[in-house]
Amino acid sequence: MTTVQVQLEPAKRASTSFWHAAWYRYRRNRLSVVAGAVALVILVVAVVAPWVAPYREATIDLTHVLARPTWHHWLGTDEIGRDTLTRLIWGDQTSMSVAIGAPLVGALIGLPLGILGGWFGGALDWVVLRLIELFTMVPTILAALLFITVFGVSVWKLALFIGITLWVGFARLARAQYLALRDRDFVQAARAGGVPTWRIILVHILPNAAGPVIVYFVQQIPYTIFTAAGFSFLGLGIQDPTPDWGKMINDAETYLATDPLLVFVPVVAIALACLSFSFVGDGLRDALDPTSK
Amino acid sequence: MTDDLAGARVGPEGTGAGAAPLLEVRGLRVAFPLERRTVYAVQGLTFEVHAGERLGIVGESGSGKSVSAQSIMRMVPFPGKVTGGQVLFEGRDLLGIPDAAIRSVRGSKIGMVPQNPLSSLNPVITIEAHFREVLSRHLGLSRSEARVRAVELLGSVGIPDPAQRLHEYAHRLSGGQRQRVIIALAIACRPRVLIADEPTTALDVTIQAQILQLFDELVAGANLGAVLITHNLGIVAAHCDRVVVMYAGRVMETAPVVELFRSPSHPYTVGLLRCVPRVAMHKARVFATIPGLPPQVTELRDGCPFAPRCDRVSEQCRRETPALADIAPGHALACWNPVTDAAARAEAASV
Repeated sequence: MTTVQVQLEPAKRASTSFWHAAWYRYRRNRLSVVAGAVALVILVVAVVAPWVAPYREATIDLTHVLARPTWHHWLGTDEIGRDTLTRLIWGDQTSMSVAIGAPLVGALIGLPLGILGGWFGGALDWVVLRLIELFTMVPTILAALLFITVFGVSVWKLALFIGITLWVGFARLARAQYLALRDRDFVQAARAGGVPTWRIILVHILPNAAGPVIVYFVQQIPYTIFTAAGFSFLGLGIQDPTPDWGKMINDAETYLATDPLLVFVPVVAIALACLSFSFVGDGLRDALDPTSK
Repeated sequence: MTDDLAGARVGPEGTGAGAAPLLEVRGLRVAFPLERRTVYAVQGLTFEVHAGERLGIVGESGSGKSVSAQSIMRMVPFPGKVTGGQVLFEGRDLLGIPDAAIRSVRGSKIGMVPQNPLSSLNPVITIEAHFREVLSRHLGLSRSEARVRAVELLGSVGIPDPAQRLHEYAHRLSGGQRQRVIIALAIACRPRVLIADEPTTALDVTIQAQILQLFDELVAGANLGAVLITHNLGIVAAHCDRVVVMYAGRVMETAPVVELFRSPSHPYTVGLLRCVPRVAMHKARVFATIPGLPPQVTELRDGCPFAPRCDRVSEQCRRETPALADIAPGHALACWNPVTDAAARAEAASV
């Protein structure tokens, strides 16, 4: 005889919020969880770079030029004796500053414009749409290049310039979300309850629109890493002495035949960062925006 | 602030109640200017609601019921515009006060129960947050005071284990429970008037009965003036004191509920009553209908709007618009050829 065990305890669980449910869905995607861990390490290292890097960012050791990995220089040194590991870690900070900063700038410009256009409609929406069209016509990389040549470059300027080219996507997304959500019953119900417009826009609609916006934000990170590295590789991005992954590739290119590690390290770093943020973005998309599958 | 215009109050006309009405809508006109034409959704709607009275507004889809309710709260959807009339509440014309003032009336003095309970709660905020929002805004309650009041309110609308429910999100509640929560929200700030726009269309029949019973209890308990918008005459018969029959944005007939069901006089009212399905009808195997569709009024033209579908139509109906006139105390009618035939009335009234 088999005994059937019946669980008499009622299934009791705290109410699942949208975010709990999203985290549950995200966790089921193992690749995204691993990618999330890698992305987290990359971000943490970027923040604590000054404390974990073995040397100061611009330390030059002319006695060890183009050195192989040693106990003093785990990943070797470059052509003027700078520690590769140090440059990798500091470059992480540079890359992440741009990679997070640029979408942040884009979101700060694009979201308010899109929200205003989508919510209020009418003439305001017309203006927002024309602005979006205008900026869509300008090739983003060329625009960023133009800004760099006119205003020069630093980490924050680069984030700003790339960010300015990113606002269109955020505006379009926010506009679509607000357009779709503003006529929903719960928004009408909130109005009927006397909730002021600003509160409806920020408290009632924004959290409902947050999923797709977060997904889009994360998806812009790998794009930005690549673009920034591309500028550096062309010599138009971050300049010495600030360490930067793209710049490292540019510098090391000459020694590719003799010292492949010098190229290999930043290439792997860029690839790893791009891939991990990409997978995090995919996981978030599936978790937060089930309609996009 | 509330009583500075009290002198403008107008006494009830031809109603049984002696006191001034809580809410009075006079000559309301709403139009939707579209690209090529203008839809005149409401044309001179007039009614009043007294404390403790449940007013039913009935009519087919597209007769302007919902738009009328929305214009009381000044929430007519774009591009609709109120083009005339008054909505008098506590002696003020709600159509003329500033935006900030109307927001403090919405949800506070006038509560609204929207049509679809399943989608009228925000999916990303908790039930408690919904209550906190209105209670802190209109009554200035603190977080903990709001929680206590919300538990009280949820209990009063028959939600079991209210303290636990507060932390939940709308998707964990059933349709009936959600509608109870919404009703609790609508009465949270002790409004004087409660407007329910087809509060039970999305619910199944047994839940409908419970919700309407709750509605009756609340209205009686707090001596509210209630407006119940529906297309279901059965609901009107059981849950309203007075009825306004709307057609094409106009009042066709208005009367106390018993009077209306006993002696319906407008051919449209008679037609509507005849359409109510009843058990005896299964022999005939067809449902009675009013031929044709309600019009979308895009031209302002003289003549009774119901004339094209009316079986008692005359030349005069096509030429002149009948005015709403009293035919008995509290019973007003806009018709040139009212139904007086006892047999037709009796058939219609057998609901």
